[in-house]
Amino acid sequence: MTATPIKFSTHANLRHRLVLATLTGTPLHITQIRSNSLTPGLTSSEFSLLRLLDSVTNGSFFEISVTGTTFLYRPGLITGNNGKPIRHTLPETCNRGVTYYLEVLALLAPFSKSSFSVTLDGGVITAATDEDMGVDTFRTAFLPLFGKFEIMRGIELRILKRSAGPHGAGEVQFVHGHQVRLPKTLHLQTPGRVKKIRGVAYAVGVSAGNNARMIEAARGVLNRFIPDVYVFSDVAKPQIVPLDYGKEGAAERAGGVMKGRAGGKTKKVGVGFGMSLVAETGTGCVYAADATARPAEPAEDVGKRVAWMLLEEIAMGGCVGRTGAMAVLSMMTMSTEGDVGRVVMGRDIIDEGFVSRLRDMKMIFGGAEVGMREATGGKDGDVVISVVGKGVGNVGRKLA
Amino acid sequence: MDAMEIFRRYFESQFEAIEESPAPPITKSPEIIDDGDREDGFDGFSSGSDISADEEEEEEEEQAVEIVHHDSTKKAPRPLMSKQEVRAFMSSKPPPSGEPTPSATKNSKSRSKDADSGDEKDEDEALNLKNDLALQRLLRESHLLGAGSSTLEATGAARLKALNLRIEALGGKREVEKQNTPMHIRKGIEEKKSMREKKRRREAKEAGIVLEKEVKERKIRKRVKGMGVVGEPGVGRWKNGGLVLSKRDVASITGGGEKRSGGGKGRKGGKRR
Repeated sequence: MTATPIKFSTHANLRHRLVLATLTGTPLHITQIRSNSLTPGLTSSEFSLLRLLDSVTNGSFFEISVTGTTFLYRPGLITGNNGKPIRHTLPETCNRGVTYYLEVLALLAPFSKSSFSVTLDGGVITAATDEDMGVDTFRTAFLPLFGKFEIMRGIELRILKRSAGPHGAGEVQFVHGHQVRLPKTLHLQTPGRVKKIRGVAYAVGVSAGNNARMIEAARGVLNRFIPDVYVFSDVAKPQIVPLDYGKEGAAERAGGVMKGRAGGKTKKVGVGFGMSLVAETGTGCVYAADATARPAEPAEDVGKRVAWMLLEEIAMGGCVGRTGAMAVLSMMTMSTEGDVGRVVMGRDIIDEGFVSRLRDMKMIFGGAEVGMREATGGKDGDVVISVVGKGVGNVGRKLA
Repeated sequence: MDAMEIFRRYFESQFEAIEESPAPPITKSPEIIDDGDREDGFDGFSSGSDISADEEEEEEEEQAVEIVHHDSTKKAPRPLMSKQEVRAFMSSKPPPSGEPTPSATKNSKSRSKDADSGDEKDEDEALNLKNDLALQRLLRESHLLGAGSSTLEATGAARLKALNLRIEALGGKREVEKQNTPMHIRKGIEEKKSMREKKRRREAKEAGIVLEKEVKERKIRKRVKGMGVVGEPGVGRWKNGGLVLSKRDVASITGGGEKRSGGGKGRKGGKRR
């Protein structure tokens, strides 16, 4: 491992870069991470991501500067702890949803040497946040994408404890038992028409009536277009935690002991409600939207907001929604060397961030080739994205 | 021709032709919407229906803006979902996508099952039998597989031993007995063998391992005839001051020895099995 690391700067696309580097085994050197910010360096959630990468790989090497603004990462082999279950505790101050980590795991797990079983606890936010989707969307819209690459067996996401933001205390378990050498080359060109809409409404520590109200409002919007709308309701208890839970440095002062912290005073955490909607087309393409209630937002408004978000997502078109676009392209690049995979996406998905992520991909894979052209036939404004496979595949499986 | 049509003709002759407006959206209270939409010239029409003049005046006085929500929720029936579908969606696994509805697959499955249920059953039966046989064999010969061997198939010397065991079970002769070993060595071998066997059983028992059933060698008590034990009769046994002869004893006295021995052998064989 004497390859010269690829240099990047700033924290933009940090997670995407780390995943690609781990998959290909390319070392990374990232500088100027929030160097001009009042809180410079990596955030606690990003540190936790590095720790998670360390625990699912063997022989990873991190060298982080004192301020945390620069780090060097030499990835190891993805082993999944040799099939033994991993428990990873997120920091209490974690402000990202748990899907921030789950998306990384879902991309790494197919290329692991042995099966994956990761339990995430601590500051786990299972509800949707502004940046990350909720766990229900992850399970019902993100994980089925891997079925298109014929990765479908033994994949589970168990939601053990639900929790909403801003400070979560939930628990989820991610099990992945389908490891492959190379993913199948993808040809996904017919988006089809939306045939059914499913969803999950969740309420943590608030009345189940909120769920019913959200569902009614969402159905009011969606029933005009399609009759087959069914939203499930999930009611959960909030978690009881010490009073100083989620405060900066409180966990360090307590030394990791939960009992008897803050003089035995407790509070409820993770209270809130939200909804996740998934639209499925006749050809098995999936669009998803989800949201959690903002402070003092009535349930009807949440329901309507999510329904409108879903309609917007459907209007964008394509075979893959925004939730899984980058994951699908990464998987396509991992597939058989020289094979060209094609996928149809909506024109609106291609924006500045999308292109910059493709550039990262090109740098880390050493010349990933991506072509775009107008789709002939089908909806106007769809774009066919062709990706040449690099045949990286599963390094651990190559030896076995 | 209804009254509305007559009114309409009259109105059109006075003013100008009315455009056909599309049917108002289905609402709970069509009267309220009509009120807001139409000009005063239309009052005649609505009054032709069941609204009384007094009510209309009241509403005009109020002049309040009525907000009507078009909510299609109440109209659409809730879709029914099968238990199977609910379970498939709400389990921890990602829901199956791009597949026909569960009910359809169920039907096709059951149909195909009906068609070749007989074949399937037979196949299952055969497979079960085969597995049973393999398991029995494994249990009987597992002691030949050392701790080091990773497969369930015996190899090398162990395989030959297993083969001998099988031949023996089928009624073949023991290979050991063919050899002409000196008595003291043979005794030593037997002793060591039983010791080893006992040790193996003891250790297995301590470790909680279930072994094959022990085949106990029946002790054949040979009766020493004549003057074996002092005071014992040569035939029969003493009971309550009398000599009791069993049927066998009688047969031994009256009949030939061959018959007796033959019967004895047969019984022995029967019991062992």
